[in-house]
Amino acid sequence: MLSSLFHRLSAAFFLLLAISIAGFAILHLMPGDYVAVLMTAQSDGIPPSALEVAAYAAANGLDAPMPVQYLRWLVAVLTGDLGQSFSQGRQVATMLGAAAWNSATLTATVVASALVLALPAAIAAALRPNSILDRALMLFSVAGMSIPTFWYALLASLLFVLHLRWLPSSGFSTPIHIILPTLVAATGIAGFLARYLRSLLLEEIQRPHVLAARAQGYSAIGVLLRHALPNALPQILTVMGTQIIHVFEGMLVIETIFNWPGMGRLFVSSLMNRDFPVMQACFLTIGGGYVLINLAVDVSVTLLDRHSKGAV
Amino acid sequence: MASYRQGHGEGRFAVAGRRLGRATLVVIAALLILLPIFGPMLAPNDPEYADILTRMQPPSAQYPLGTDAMGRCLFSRLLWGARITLVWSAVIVAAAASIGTLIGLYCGYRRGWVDLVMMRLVEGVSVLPSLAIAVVISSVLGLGLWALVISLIAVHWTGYARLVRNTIVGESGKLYVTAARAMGAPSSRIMLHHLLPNIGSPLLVLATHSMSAMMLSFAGLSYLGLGVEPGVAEWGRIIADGRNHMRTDPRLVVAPGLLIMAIIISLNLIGDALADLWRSGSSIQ
Repeated sequence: MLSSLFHRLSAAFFLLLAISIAGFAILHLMPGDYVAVLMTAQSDGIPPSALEVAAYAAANGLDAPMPVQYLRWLVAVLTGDLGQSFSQGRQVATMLGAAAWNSATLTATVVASALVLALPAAIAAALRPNSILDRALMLFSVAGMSIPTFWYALLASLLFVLHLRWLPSSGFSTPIHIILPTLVAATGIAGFLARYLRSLLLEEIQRPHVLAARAQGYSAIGVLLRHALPNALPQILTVMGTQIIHVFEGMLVIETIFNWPGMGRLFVSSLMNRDFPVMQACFLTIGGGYVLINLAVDVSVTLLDRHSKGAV
Repeated sequence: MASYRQGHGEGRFAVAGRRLGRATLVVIAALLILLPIFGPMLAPNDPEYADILTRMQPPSAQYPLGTDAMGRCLFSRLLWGARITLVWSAVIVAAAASIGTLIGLYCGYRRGWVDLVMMRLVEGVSVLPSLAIAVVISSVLGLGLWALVISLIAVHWTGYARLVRNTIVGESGKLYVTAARAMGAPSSRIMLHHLLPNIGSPLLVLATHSMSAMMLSFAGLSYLGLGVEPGVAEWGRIIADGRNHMRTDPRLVVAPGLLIMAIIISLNLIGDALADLWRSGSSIQ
């Protein structure tokens, strides 16, 4: 168990290292000389002369060998210095902090609503497989996975904003603004989750200990909630981890369409404006977030597994 | 998906229904292949021809789906768009599948340190945000169609490498491989002539499912402006061009979206049917 934890931790460490190297490489692989581009951005678009570039590079240690520059950059990043945005001139760390918080709020809301929708539906479907509800769930799930997010977002705003006028179109100012992006992001996830949870529960129901509990006269739903569901918890956690990551990927589209000031929108706008420092910071945050979420899921599954193995 | 319904005392109508469903899927699959080849020949108008006098026309005999804000024929643009969205998604999937299959074959058959290193790489790439990496690569390459294609291939080969590698590890111990080796067949022949044909089914299932995911990524990124240039008749781009007129004329957004969704649903159903066929086939053996 300890060795498995150690294995996961070291894997996460190497992944973070790889992400940091890739993130560092973004600035140095971009078209044009990095120092010249940086100086042009700082002097409002006036390109510097070759002499000025050399002087600036020497003064700021940008002529040092790449590994040395990487280590210096890594120390700066770890202490929260992510440089300045090319397009806005603001500190990247400040922009990033607010955006990451907004995205985390939206993602948490989406995942929670998807789970709230999916869990009761999956339990109801698993209690009566092949019923009308079960079939409807399948249909909903296939449709949810097949609908293009960007199109769904447009249709939802067409209906709820332009025609019914129930919800505000885009932005961030009131709590109501979170409803539409959550609805769009959660539908597909809920469809997938319900389908997955249903098949998990159906598998669990056929296990001997569940059948034994049924034979002792416990009700179907009671057995499902008390025995089948807790046993399926490691798998549920694992799939939730991949779904959080999936939700995050959808944020590129959803935040841009609904003008939600989060990481997804920041990332897309930095790509469009070729704002490389912001792009780099977004990449580091998203990549690091992925690794940490995966690690958290892996560790909790390992702990749960030990618990369930001990019990059997 | 449908597997639990099969087998146990299935009625005549259920069997007929399933056969009918499969026949429909075969027809749809044929249509999907024919659409980019012959679709543009059916286009009534030039998809790029813009005319301010014919802008925002409702559907008519000359313009079956009406015209967009620049007076271009929406129906013709959708037909031509198949050559971009469908063909490029297929190219990306085919390239990623070929690269992944070759690497998976080599690693699964030879094992050794190359396998060890490659599989760590595959694991690493598959837990990273593939879409985020793809857009960063394509941005470093200078955005545009080619940059997008290369970056999507770069993040999608890993799934195939892992699938093929793990299947080959299971197959390598089987008798036909030992027999081929005993007859002195070179490794390359064993890999390409003996092992590859035996992993075709799972590969096809994965490719069909990833084709639908690829179309969603491709059209989505083009919609955001991270794919093809503005003005190109790509399905995601056509929706992006129509969104500013969505309120007065929802047709410009609804028609291309329905087309994309219909194709994605078909691809997902075809993938499910292939998976069922493959599973029932392998259980007989």
